[in-house]
Amino acid sequence: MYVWKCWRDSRSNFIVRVIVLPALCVFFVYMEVKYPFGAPPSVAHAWSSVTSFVLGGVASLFTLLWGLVMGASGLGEEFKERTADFLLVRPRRRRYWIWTGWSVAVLELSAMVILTVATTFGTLAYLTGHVQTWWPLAAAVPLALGGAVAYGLTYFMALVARNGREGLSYGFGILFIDLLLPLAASFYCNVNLPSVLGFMHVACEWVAGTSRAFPTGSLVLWTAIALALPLAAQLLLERAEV
Amino acid sequence: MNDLVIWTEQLVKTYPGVRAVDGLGLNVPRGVAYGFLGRNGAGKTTTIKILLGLAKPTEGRATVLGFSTGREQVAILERTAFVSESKTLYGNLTPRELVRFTRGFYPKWSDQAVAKYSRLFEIPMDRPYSKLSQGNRTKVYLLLALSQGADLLVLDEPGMGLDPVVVDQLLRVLVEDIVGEGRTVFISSHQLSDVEQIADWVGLIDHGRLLLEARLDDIKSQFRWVTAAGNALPRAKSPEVLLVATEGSFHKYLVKRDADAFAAELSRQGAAVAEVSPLGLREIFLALVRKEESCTSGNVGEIAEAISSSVS
Repeated sequence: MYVWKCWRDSRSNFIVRVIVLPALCVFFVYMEVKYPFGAPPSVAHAWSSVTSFVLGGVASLFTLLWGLVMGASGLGEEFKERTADFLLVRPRRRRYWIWTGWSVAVLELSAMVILTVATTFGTLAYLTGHVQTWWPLAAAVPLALGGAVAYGLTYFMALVARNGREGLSYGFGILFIDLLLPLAASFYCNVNLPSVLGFMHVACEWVAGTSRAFPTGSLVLWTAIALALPLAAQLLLERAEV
Repeated sequence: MNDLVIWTEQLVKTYPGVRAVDGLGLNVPRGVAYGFLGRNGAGKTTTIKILLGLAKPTEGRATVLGFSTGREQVAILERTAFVSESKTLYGNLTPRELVRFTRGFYPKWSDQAVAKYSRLFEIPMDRPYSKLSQGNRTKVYLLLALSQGADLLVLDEPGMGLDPVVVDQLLRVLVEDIVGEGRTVFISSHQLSDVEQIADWVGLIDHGRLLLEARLDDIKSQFRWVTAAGNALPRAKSPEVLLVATEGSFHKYLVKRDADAFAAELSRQGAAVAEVSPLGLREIFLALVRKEESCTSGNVGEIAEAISSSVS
């Protein structure tokens, strides 16, 4: 059924993603530990810098990008390809298409980030000889949440535009603004604006055990946005005519 | 209303600047093949989209299989198969994968039907849909619709891209396997000859309005063309003679009901009766859809009015 189709459409890209992102992170962990800038880091410093840079930076950025790309192949593209009049006459409520696609995408994103985080910390433990508890795996939560926001954003915008590629462009533009605007506001006005990439970075640092406070407010905000976007897509689809 | 598979009342659908459906009232009986005819842009596809929940009516209401469109759409879709005009499916999936995808949605899905129709239509089941010819794409769409075990089959231009052999096979399937089992076929098409072969009922729509809805046999049995040649033939209309037209040396009379008696009367008056022929669907269609065009000869308008007023 639709779960199978979503998986059938995304499986080859998924396999590439679960190979590329962990491999990329392993590479950066290796470089961070074996070829550090300045003096060789202590084990504790290696853990915090890897979590901050590799997970909070590289993995967060790639998860956002892949979330964006995955959302472009949702229902918006069905309108462009003119397959919507086939899909939407299957006997299911319209919300079924939205939440099934969303669930499959979030599962794929979660699998990808869990594997990435596990590989990253596994490599770090191997290289430093210091094994952590399971707790660092919690870094997968903000990564998956950021990916879900990016996916939902493109999915919604693609549905608005009725075109996956246009939805991707809009989603990318909005996330770009969400990255630049908080930086500018912080720099020029000393005002903190929410940024999904900033949230992912800070949450990863918190998981690494640095002294920052847990970003509870941001977690709630981005969780709400991650759920609001598919809900908005549902409301849009339920009123859409083909 | 219980015996009606499709029922609409004062259905209206407007788009900016266009009144696509304008007060449509359809009554499609159960277990028949219903030909839904009209020109391009007449409102056929919009009507079908409203019935299937792909568009919302601006005014009016409709039921399909006794369920209200919109509110009970899932119940309608569980029992209705649809072949769209565009016939676009997922290009990366093979017909076998499309069957796998579609099967799970329908409790009455039949794998035997898949085997039967894929063999009958000679569908290459393992070639990606995007690599199939237009004809084979249409066949795949039909295969999926026919295998659903639906109570109502809605076909929007089903013969498009199909060769005459497959069209003939399809018409036979529709009559024997669908209508023959008491299910209903609602077929929207420009191929009047195909529709005429299988339709029990016809509905003619133009500018979003229903011009005629009647049993095809009733139309055909009520009206005849009587073609005759001779001198001093009657030229006046009467309650039985709805129209008199002249084509060269022949007079054509559109006669209601007892055409044979009228032909015998002409013969008695010394005329040579060349032909007594039924009114074809094509003539009915052309007459009805052209009646509002000022550039056409007046007689077709008269035919239209005669048919409309006599049958309705």
